Amino acid sequence: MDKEFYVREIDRVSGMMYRVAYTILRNSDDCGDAMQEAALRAWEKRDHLRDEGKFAPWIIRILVNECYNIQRRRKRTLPLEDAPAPASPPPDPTLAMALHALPEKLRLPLVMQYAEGMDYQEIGLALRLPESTVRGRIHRAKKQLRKELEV
Amino acid sequence: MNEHKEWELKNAFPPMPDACRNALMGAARSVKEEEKMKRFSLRTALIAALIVIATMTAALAAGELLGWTQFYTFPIPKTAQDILESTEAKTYQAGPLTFTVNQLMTDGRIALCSATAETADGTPAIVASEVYDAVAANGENGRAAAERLGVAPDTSWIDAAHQLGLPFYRVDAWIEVDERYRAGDDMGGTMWDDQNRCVSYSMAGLNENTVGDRLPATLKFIVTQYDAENIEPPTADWATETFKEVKELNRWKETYDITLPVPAPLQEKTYAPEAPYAFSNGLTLNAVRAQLTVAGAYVTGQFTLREGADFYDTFAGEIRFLDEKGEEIRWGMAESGIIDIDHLPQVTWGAMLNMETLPDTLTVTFYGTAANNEQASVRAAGK
Repeated sequence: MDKEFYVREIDRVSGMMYRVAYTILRNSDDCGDAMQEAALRAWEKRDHLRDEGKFAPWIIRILVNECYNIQRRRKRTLPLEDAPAPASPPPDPTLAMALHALPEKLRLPLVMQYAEGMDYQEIGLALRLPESTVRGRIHRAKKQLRKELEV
Repeated sequence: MNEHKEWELKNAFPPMPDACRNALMGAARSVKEEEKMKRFSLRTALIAALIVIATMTAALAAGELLGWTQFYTFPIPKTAQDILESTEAKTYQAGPLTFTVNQLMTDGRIALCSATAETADGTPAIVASEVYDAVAANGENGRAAAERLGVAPDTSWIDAAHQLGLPFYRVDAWIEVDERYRAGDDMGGTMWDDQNRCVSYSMAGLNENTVGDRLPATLKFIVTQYDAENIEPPTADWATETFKEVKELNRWKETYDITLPVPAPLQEKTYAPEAPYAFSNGLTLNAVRAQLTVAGAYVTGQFTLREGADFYDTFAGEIRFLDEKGEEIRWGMAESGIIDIDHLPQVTWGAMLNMETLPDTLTVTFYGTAANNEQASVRAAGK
């Protein structure tokens, strides 16, 4: 992988990276830190990516790790009501509230599928989960999100 | 395939601030070709559970209800099969639909329920667990359902109802246990039988430390009727647009309390290697514990993570257990494993295995890690 390809791919998946990071951290400042760190770490680990077609799940996997690192370092397990308000509100605040009320392990695969269009295999690669686990979690996430939106 | 989406989740996120984008792209542009890797360890915890949407292998008489015994593609323990098949089928009403719960059981670690939904008065209708998913979304079973209905496999369920001029009902049917008994993930799946009745499978993960000899549980049924008559026809734009135009007409919710007997564990064993075995993925095996239940064996390896090891490199693979003949023991009915790294460097990593007895020796190995092909044998205490 050369640098030109790398920068181009990072640019292409930047929106996805932000939303995935936000799904875990719910704080734009932390998202920036996680994305920056992930970009540096991914380059260090570039030899591990054997199929450049899998760049997105690969970088997302690294990003998710970085998000957990930040969460742990800062001992942040923010309850929803304590999450800082974003500088710009989301276009659909009701959906945002319902989505972020889901447990993270359900929220993350759902976002990857519904917001980012990743398939079960890609999500499995990104989260290091078997495809069938991904399917099960998305199933449960959809059920819970519907319930949240009913309230 | 129609890409109907129930929600446009991108709208749940604030726009990416410029500062984030600049930080990301600045980092990407700053990299140098000759930089080397650094490694560090990461701590997290995960309980992985999975459920496999299987294709039916067992032959069934026409009209016979599907249950968990048809769900699995492998022979489950006889003890579990007997309990599931001896379940007295009971029907429950939710609005215009009847749910027949025909297989129900717990082993103290998982609770299973299968429920078949059909219209109470026999009126033809489309009954499914999703509105916008393609009929064939669950694989072979869905493709067969599409063929029976005479619709294209990538037709969504609501479109199928629209095309066939039938009412459409979305169903949720599951077994739920109180929070104090719950552990791990609840899982679900859907299949369709040869009469296109919708079969909902649900599995609840239980905390074996809190479940006694009786498990109070609730069966929950939700039926939502949608207006399949008045939907927008598919357009080329549907692949990118949110689809929210289907109108909900009615909704019915019913809950029924039940109690399940919890069979006691059948056998327990602790195994130890002759000496702690160090896998090259950084995990040293100290012991293995196994508990046999009516549904299979819950087997966990107790490991110590080597100082400085990157747990994520070990986690890239899966733990496997081999029997006394050196053959891999298949994962069991829970189709799940557990990884506990809350107490690093101690790591507990195990799986539910499809076993009817606990052997005197077991072999632990890993698949897809640096420790591939390395094997550690353990022997039951006292053997």
